[in-house]
Amino acid sequence: MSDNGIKDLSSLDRLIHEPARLMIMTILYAVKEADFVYLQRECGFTQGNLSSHLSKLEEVGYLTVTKTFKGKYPLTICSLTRKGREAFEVYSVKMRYVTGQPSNNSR
Amino acid sequence: MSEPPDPVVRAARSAERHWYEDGLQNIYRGFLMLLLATGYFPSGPFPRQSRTETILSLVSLCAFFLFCILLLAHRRIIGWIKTKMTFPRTGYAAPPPSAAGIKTEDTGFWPAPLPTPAEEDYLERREKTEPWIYFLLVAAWVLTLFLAHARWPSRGVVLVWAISLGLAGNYTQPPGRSAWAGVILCVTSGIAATLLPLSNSWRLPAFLFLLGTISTAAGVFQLSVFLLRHPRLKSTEP
Repeated sequence: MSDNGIKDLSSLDRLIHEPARLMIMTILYAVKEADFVYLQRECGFTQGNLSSHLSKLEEVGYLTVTKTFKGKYPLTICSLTRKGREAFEVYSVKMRYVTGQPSNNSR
Repeated sequence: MSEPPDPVVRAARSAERHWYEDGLQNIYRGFLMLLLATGYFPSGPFPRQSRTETILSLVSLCAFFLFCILLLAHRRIIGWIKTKMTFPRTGYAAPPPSAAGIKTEDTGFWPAPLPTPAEEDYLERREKTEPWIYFLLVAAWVLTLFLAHARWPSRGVVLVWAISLGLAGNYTQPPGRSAWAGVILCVTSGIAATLLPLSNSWRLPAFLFLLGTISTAAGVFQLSVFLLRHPRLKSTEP
C-alpha cells in the first residue's frame, strides 16, 4: 500500500466490494470451482440475484461460467480466473490495511 | 501465494463438510469391510482339500482383488455416485484436497482447492503413511490367513486387528469426518467378535462383517437423513 492514507480507500475494487459479490468471490477463491446450486445454497441468494451477480463478475473477466450436463441435470460451473483471483488477493490486502489487521501467516 | 483471509478458510471448511455430509464414504468403507470379511471365509472349519474349500478360496481371492480395485478407484466411484445423488440436491463444489487426491506440494498453486490447516496436516500425514498402510494391509491379510489356517488363537488376532484398524482409521481420517467414532466402532466390534459364541476361525470374518455392517448402516442412515433434508431440486439453473 502507498502512504496516501485515506485516499487509498478509493482504489478498492468496487465490483468485489459489493457484499453479495464478495461472498461469491470468497467461496470460489476457496473451492476452485462450484456450481450454481452450491453457490445459491451457501450464499442464500435467489436465482435471479445470483445470476445477475455472476454475470457482472463474468463481464469483467473475474470468473468463467461453464454450462455442462451431468446425466440429465444441467450444471453451471463457476470458477475464478487468474485475473479474478489476483483481484481478490489485492482486495483482501487492501481491506486488511484499512481495518489495521496484519497479514496473517497462520491460516 | 498471499495469505487468504479467515472467511476464505471458513468457505473451504464448509466445502469439506459438504463433501462428507451425504454418508457415501461410510457406506463405501463398510462395503470394503464386508468384502474383506468375504476374503476370510476359507479360514472357516471346512474339511481340507474339499470342494467347498476350493470354491471359497477362489471367492476369497476374487473378493480380495475386488477389494483392492475398489480401494484404488474409490475417488472415481464416489465422485460418480455423487453426480447422480448429491449434486442435484445440494450442488457441486470442488472436493477438498484430501478427497481429490491432491498432494501437499500441489495445494499452494492455483487451481487446486484451498486446503484448511487441518487438510494440510492430513495431506502431509497421508503422504508419509499411505504406502505403508497399503503394504501393512496386504501383509496383515496374508499373515492372518496363515495364522487362521494354523488355528492360531483367533481372539488375539481379532483384537489386534480391531485396535490396528481403529488407530489407523483415526490417524488417516480426513478432516470433515468424525475420527473417534471410527475408533470406538472398531474396538467395540472387536470385543463383540471375541465374545460371540463362534469357533475361533470365524471370529475375524465376524469382526469384519460386524464392522462393515455397522459402517454401512451408519452411512445409510446418514444418507437417508441427507435425502430427506435435501429433496431433489427442480432445475434451478439460470
